[in-house]
Amino acid sequence: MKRKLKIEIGLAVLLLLIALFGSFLAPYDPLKVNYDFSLQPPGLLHIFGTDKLGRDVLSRILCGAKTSFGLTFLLLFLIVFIGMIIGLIAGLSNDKAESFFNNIINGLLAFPDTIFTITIVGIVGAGLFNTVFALALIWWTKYARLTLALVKQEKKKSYLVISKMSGVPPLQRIIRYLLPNILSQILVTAFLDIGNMMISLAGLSFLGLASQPPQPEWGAMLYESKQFMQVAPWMMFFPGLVLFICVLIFNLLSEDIRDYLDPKHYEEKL
Amino acid sequence: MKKIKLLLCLFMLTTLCGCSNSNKNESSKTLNAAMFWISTSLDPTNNYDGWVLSRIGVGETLLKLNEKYEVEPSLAKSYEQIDDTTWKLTLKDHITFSNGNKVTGENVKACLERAFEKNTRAIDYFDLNHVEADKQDVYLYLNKSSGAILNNLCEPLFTIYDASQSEEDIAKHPLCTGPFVVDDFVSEKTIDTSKNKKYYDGKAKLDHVHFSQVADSDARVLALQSGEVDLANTIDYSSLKLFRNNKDYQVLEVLGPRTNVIYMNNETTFLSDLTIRKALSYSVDRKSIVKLIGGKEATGLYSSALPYGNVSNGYSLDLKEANRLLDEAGYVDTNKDGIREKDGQEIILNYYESADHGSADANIIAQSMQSEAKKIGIKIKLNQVENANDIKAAGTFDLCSANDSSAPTGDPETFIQQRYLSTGSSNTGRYKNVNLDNLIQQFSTIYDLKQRQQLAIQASEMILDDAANIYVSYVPLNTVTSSKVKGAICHPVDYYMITKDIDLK
Repeated sequence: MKRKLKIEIGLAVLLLLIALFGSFLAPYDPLKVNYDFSLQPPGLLHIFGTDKLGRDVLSRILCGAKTSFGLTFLLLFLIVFIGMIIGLIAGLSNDKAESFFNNIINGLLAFPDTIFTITIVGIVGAGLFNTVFALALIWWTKYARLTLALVKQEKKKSYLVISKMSGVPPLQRIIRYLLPNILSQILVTAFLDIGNMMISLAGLSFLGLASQPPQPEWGAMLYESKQFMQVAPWMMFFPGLVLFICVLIFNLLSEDIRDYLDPKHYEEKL
Repeated sequence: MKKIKLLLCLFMLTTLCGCSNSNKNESSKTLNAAMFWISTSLDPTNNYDGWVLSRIGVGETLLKLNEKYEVEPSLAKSYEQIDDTTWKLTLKDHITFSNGNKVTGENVKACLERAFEKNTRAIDYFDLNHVEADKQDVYLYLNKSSGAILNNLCEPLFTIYDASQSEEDIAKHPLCTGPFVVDDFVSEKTIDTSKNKKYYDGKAKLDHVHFSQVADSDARVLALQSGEVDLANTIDYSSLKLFRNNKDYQVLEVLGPRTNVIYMNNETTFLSDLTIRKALSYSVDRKSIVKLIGGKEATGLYSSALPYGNVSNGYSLDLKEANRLLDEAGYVDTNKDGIREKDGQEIILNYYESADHGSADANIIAQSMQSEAKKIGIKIKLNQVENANDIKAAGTFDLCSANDSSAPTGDPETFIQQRYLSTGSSNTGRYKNVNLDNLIQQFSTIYDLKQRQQLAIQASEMILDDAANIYVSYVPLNTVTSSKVKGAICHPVDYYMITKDIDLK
């Protein structure tokens, strides 16, 4: 394994640990309002400064990490799970069913995803879970399409044909033979999407659709800082920087994992 | 050689033309202004569109308010009360609309009748039976007496325009009497005006004004800094320091009649209980909020900038008292989760807030309130919404933020009647008190200013006894201009903005 990849994995693990234990590392209560410390610039007492209500920005970033990462992974799990199930059903069914699912997927892909999400959130109401639900409603299509393509490619292969002829029950055939052969590609794609999803969720929070105050969440923090961009730039700088670093690390990591899992990589080694 | 001479002549001619054009542009004074809201039309009878028409220096009313909220003549030179329900207004003789047509009693009659026909808000101001016109005299016959009629005629809903125009023209290019004329109007985007050459009270100093809608307060700040606009108003308090003590800008501020209020839905399970309403009123840290958003701590519903804004029984931060009230009423946190409950139901309230005038103030108040309420065992769930007005109208809220002008015409009657009368047209908090209803009815028969003010204080104190809503702060109005602007005003009545005297150095 390349040294670069190892470092990236280390950094990603560190970020996840911060997300998990951020609330223990936070020097202050992220929700505690302290009017006397309103808009304090970064200093010894508050390393990342304070916001309008005197809340510690560092503590809010650390505690917000849990929400930002948690929602990203929840969303990722939902879209991969739903997409894979539908992709498998469509791929293993007859042509009519496949065409039916294809039409649904193509229909949904025709919608601009942000506008679709804003519309759904507008109907069901703003909030973290509603936003994740709205994004999941449109983004599963990518994984359904990928799974469908992979299943169509794999089902003609001899190992599946032989297992069918040997009388292996369909569910067992999928779990024991088909899934292990398509899962790695799906997971690499999912990994590549982490950064994208973090940005999208932060973007929707920035529009006031996802996280609701006083919940610390990076996108929501950016939204709140917008009004103080000039008088308290640290309110925008630090959450923005953290978001940038996270997205960068996960994007670099996913690309290197993709290269590492690429069959060409093994061929080169051989 | 001839060709060369011809070309030379052409070149010189073009250069001269260019010079004359550039001179024309330089001599033409155009002010660029950012407004937090540009309406969907300019028809004064449509919603609050008349306010925009007044702000841009186009629309005028029969009477106007001065900075002390006193009524002064405008298009009408005098007014007279004939009897309890009849008023006579006499128009100035020499006033014309921007198209040269004379402002006559008949025209005023048509405008007033149209206002009552098109806008349900009109009847809140006075109950008109009919209007009669006799040359320059206008007689208003009311169904019931109105002590506030003179002030209320200053509301831009009663703007006077050339009523012979088509509906479409009134909506886009109303011909009025102000120092400026509408040249171009793009709904919710821009308005272009130019000097009204027929203006009756001198000449406007500017040639043109270009207004753009910049809904977000921060964007207005950036527009001022980049030089894109010369004037903007309603700048957030925290951003004002960017312009104060800066020679390139001037900041004008005044405490107006606006109040930051949190409406409590008096019909919901918890908020129908006076104890909880009082406890919440005691839990707001107004002093600290004012430090963050500017203005003045609110005591009652009327701003202290008004002559009747001072009350004796306002609420201030007292968490001990709030806790005592809740304890006594049997709201206890039995399961120790930090939230009090009664009959097994936890006190959880839904608070809806939206950015008024693109400002962060509502959000700051909401989060502060949430934080303080937590200390008395009340959980507040914040919801940032765009359709706060729909939620208020539907009554599907516990708490809801607003930035209300508590006396849009300087008189206390209309606002209290709309918001606090049991049958009020905008009784957001669903508040009902028969005694207050009777008190509000008295306004219509009292004409003496001092007595009306006394009545307003009495009503305001009655509302505070019932802790009907939470009054947080009185909002300062501000206008920021570049230093090249002179003669700009920041009037406490916020539908006055552009006057004939505003100029560019």
